[in-house]
Amino acid sequence: VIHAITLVVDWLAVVLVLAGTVPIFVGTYQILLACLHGLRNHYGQCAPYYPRTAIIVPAWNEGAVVGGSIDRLMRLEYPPDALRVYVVDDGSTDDTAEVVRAKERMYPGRTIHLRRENGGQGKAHTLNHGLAHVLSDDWMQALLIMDADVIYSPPSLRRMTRHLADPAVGAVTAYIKEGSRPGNYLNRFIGFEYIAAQAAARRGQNVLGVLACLAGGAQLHSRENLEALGGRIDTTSLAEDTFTTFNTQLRGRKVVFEPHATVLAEEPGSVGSLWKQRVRWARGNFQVTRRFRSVWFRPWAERRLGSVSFGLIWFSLFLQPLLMIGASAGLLTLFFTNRELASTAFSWLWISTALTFVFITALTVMIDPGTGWHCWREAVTFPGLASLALMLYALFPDQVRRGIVELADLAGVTLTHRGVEIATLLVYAWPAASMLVATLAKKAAERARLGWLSPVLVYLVGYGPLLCAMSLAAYVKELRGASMAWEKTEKTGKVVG
Amino acid sequence: MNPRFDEEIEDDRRYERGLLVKAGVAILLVVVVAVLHELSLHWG
Repeated sequence: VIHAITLVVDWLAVVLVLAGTVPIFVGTYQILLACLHGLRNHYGQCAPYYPRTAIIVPAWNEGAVVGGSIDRLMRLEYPPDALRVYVVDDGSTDDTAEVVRAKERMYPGRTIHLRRENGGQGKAHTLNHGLAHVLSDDWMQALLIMDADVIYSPPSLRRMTRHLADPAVGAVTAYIKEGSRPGNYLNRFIGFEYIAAQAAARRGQNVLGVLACLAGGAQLHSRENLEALGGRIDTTSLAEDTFTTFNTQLRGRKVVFEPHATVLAEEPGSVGSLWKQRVRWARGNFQVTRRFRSVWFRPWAERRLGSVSFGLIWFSLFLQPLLMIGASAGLLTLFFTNRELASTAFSWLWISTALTFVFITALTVMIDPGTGWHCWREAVTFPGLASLALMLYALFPDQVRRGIVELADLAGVTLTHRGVEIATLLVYAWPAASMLVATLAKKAAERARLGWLSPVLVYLVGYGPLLCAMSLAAYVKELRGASMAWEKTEKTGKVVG
Repeated sequence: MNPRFDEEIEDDRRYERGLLVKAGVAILLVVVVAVLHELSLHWG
């Protein structure tokens, strides 16, 4: 009986370790789909199309950036009489109102300042104020929702509107790129993340015919789509962009990602600011997962959103922090029950991680070579230096072991059996422990004297585990029913177009 | 507004088709790492 129980425990532990590899294989699947975008895309249904487009810019204390944004919007390669910019000033207390009024005088009839006196309720409420205004007459045929700080490349809008020539398309999103220059290490990590999560992943989703999220700073809707959505953006969640994306597709309209419409955005430059932003996003995704529970894995009911492929993509990311903890738990269990199997499972986990890492990183850099080369160091260290060392150990165990022994000899350190066991336990615990160390990067960033330690820890544990730690923190907050106060990401106007 | 519409669409399509070649290069890199791993087991 004891033998049978041990066997069951061993195999359960192996399953946990194997489950830890699901996100990397699903990530690989998604990026492989992206490569098929040349064969399956929406370009065949595109046509020259320039609908009368209203641009809504939600603004709360954006005085530093909004003036430049309006100037650049006026220079878009788009018929001037078919473009109006509505800045919805959400009760700003800085000089946003003065800046926008000056632009109203500079571009009469093409820039409109809308003031919302009782602001501060969040972006969705601000957008709804603007939406009610533009839907009140029939001038607007398409609506572009953007952020005050983003910079659209001159041809981007017409590259998006060409998809709306197909009446089946309800909304189009663009490729948001991190645009802070010179930018710091965190901006470069985000730069690489955005190639993977947008340029690559959303191409893959185009191939599947279903999109997870319209970028908040670049979503173009047809008027028909907005009216079908009730003329309002969801205000009950922290993920209004994803709610809009899902609801558009559930009403039978297509959502398309246009990779050649590029938009530069300023993203957080500190771990603290990134933490706030990503906890908000992850809480939003948690709310989406719950709200659309009748959609997942039901291809017979919802052909695209309910497909197995899309469900795997969504849940492998959503559950990644838990899967990492599970992988560590599996390895640690095997350490005490079956050392040989533990060693084999460790090799499976880290060799598959290493091979998929090489594939995903190389392809991601090649998808957007300009950004990729700018961020190449962060691309290589994305999983963290510690995890890279584990990948090397899994790939070349004898050589690395020999190197460690030689280094220990050089340093005059004797490797004891007990020391090796403790090191093995730490290595097995690393997938889960990396998230714990990532939270220390946030704590260090909050203390002036330890600020230097934060980037060191991020490079050590990796940006990927840092994101997982943020997701985990978000899920805990969500389950505890924490307040949904909107915390705006600070913008300083570092984006250079 | 955009007399180069067809040309631009064709450029974008060409770029997208080029992703298949890039995937081939990335797969080749993975094969190289896998072969190095196998060789290291024999040299170890």
